[in-house]
Amino acid sequence: MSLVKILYVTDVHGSETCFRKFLNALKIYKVDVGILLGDLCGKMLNPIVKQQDGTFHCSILGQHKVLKTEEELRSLEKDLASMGNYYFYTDPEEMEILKAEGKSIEGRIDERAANISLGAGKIEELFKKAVLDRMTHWMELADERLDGSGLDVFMAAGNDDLMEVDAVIDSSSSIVNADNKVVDIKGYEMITLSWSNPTPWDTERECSEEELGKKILALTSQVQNMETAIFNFHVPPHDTLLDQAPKLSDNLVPSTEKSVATGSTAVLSAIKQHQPLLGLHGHIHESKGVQKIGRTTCLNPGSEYSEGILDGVIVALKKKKVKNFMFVSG
Amino acid sequence: MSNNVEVFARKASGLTREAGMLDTTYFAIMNNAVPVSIWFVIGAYSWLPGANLTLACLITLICVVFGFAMVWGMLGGSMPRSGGSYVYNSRIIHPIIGLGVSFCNGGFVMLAWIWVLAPWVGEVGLPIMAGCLGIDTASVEYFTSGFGLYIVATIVNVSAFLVCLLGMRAYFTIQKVFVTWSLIGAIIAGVIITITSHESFVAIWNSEAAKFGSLDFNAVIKGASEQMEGIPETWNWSSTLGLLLPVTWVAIYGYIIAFIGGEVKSPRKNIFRANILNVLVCVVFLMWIGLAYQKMLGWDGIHAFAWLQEEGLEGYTVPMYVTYINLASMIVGYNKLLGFIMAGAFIVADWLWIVFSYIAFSRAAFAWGMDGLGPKWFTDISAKVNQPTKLLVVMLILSQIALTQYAWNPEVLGSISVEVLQLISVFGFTAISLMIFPFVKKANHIWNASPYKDWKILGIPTATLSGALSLIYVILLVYAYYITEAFAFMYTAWTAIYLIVWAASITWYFVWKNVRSKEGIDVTMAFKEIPPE
Repeated sequence: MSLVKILYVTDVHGSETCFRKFLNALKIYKVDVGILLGDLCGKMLNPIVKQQDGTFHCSILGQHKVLKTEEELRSLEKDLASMGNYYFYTDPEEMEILKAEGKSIEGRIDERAANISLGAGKIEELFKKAVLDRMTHWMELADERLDGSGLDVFMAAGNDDLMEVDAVIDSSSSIVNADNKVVDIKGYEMITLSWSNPTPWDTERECSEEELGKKILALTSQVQNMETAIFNFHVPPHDTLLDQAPKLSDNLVPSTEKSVATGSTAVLSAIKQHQPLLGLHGHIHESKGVQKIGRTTCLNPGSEYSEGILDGVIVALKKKKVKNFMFVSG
Repeated sequence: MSNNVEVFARKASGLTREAGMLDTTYFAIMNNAVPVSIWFVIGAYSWLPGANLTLACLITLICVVFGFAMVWGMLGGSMPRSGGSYVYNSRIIHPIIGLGVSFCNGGFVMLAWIWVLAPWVGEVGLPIMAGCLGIDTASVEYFTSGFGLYIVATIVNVSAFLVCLLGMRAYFTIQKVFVTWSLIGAIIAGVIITITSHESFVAIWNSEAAKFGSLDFNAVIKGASEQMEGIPETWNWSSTLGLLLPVTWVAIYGYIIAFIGGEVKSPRKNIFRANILNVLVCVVFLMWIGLAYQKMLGWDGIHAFAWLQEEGLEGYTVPMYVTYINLASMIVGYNKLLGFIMAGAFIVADWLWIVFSYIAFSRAAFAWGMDGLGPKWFTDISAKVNQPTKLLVVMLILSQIALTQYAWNPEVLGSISVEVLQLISVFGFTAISLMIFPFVKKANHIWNASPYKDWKILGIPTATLSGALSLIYVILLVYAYYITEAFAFMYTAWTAIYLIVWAASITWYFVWKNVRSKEGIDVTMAFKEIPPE
């Protein structure tokens, strides 16, 4: 087997800048294979509220902005998309209705805005449309940029991603949706799983450890050669360097001192049992790192999507071994 | 339901930042080690006669609040990532500068802190504790130099190493207790000194001196004045400039928030505010206790007692070190509880520095390894303790060698020289980074998302002005170092060391770049800017 270079990226969370960088990075880093694992969807929806005086108001990064010109609006849209936020245009009357629908979670979900409302009803619809519109746009962009490039590019959702996202990835002619199947990466078998163990947020794709174990078993049973296999599982193995997150109190306030292992015991067991060549993980953005579990090299490149920074890891495989790896940030 | 909803959120995972503003400020205050820093500044009157503490504090306050604190606050708020100066300088200036800064700060300076500060527990901490508990300092004299000092410094060093092996959770618990202790100790000493008049102090001192047939207050002044070749009648600029170095030391080390930038909650607000708040808290502590101490001792007294603290005087026979903590203890009749709290405050604050040096070094070296700039084992993490044990062991070995040198050839003022290396390497380059941040094309997308991009004074970005002020202050401090006669004996050696450390970091970069290149990995890719368009 000749040298195979893989760029692995995870958790871009709707960031337009990060996705565009991912497409460009494949050529700049001179890799053979690109893998973008979920989470792909963003978390925030910013209303841009048209006022009676013709100006537009929007809150971004906790700052209240007043926009007067088309140029300012385009710049705002770009900034929001870059950090993974979605937006929609509205007016004060509609905002009142949307506010009434939302469930306040003031001051505890994100550092960037003091007052945030959890989506419900019409807000959910707006979110879904924004998410799928951006995903569709991404696939169109990927097809345009990757066509004829000769690169193998794989994508899959993560636990935060809407189920409808899968169909959008499937629609791409240049990207393979790798979720829940075995794909061949230049002679290395890769199995991918978008689901996670339970989180405090009750996200789209999470299940009990037992169910997760079954999903993993269904995949591992299809692998021919574990010695060269890659486990591309969104959730990292339990109690490793790749899954450390702050402990949350009963009302979801993060601890200032105590961290807790948030990874999956089912994933850890599978890696210990099957000892694949490589484990690629994400989910916990701040737990960027590497850990060997037996012969398996497990990697989590972390994520800084909100700053528009693309974090990834380049892995060089040769002769059934992980020849080298390097974390990159661009 | 709030009436001020401005953003809608989905149900999605992602609460990951943990440290609030108070936690962050507390972390910063830890690194300024208030009780130790005050002792060091007060002692400076012996080698900087005529220094004006008020002026030095005010200059520091202005330059650090509007300079350094804003440099670290703005960069930290714009790039809230763990890694700090390495991240800022590599992104804004060049990876070689980022690595050089990290090499100096995370590598050499952290080693130097252990080298100098671990022995302080034996040299200074134990005698202070003995004096406060009413025990003759002669009983701990063995531990203040030579092999005895080596034993104490080794215990301090090894205990810090072992705490690191226990993990960050254990460290943070200990830090919370010890920083609280150190602040309470400083407050107790400050209150005692503040409420004691000059006359009362002289009476207590003379009474204590009489018990041991020692020098009374006037004799201390006379003796120190003779040894110092006269105490200046008023303040002067040269000593005040020299005093800026230790006073700045009290205020600037909150920059270590940068090391935990990725863990701070609401980083765009909290990193900035905590940097400012830390400076205010630490300088206020210093001004309060320092000026109260000067009021209690008088102008001649603060010089004479600093001399007595640093150099000793013939005829002084009271079995106690003369530090502000011991004098406060003497005033309250050597109350054992208060004495233990005050003296313990010094020791625990000093000890925390040693632990932190291990943490900072191992994280910095781990980051180099992750970028391919170091041996592969730099990224090895022990599965048992979840720590980079190999790197911790490296620091243990290097620091033990350094401690061996120190125990038999102590150089207390070495810490000031380390500060100068850090000023140039860390604060100087990072000030330049902030100064040019708004104008650097490759960092344009970060600047555009920065909450400080609209902050301007007379049309000039505040970031540029703060960076420039910091750079000017760095130049002033380095100038102060080189014109202060008390530091003269260190100029040549330390200038050479600065150059060697920088040369080593640049060599390190190119050696590992070459090694990785042969393995098919281009390390420059780790820093390469990826265009989004």
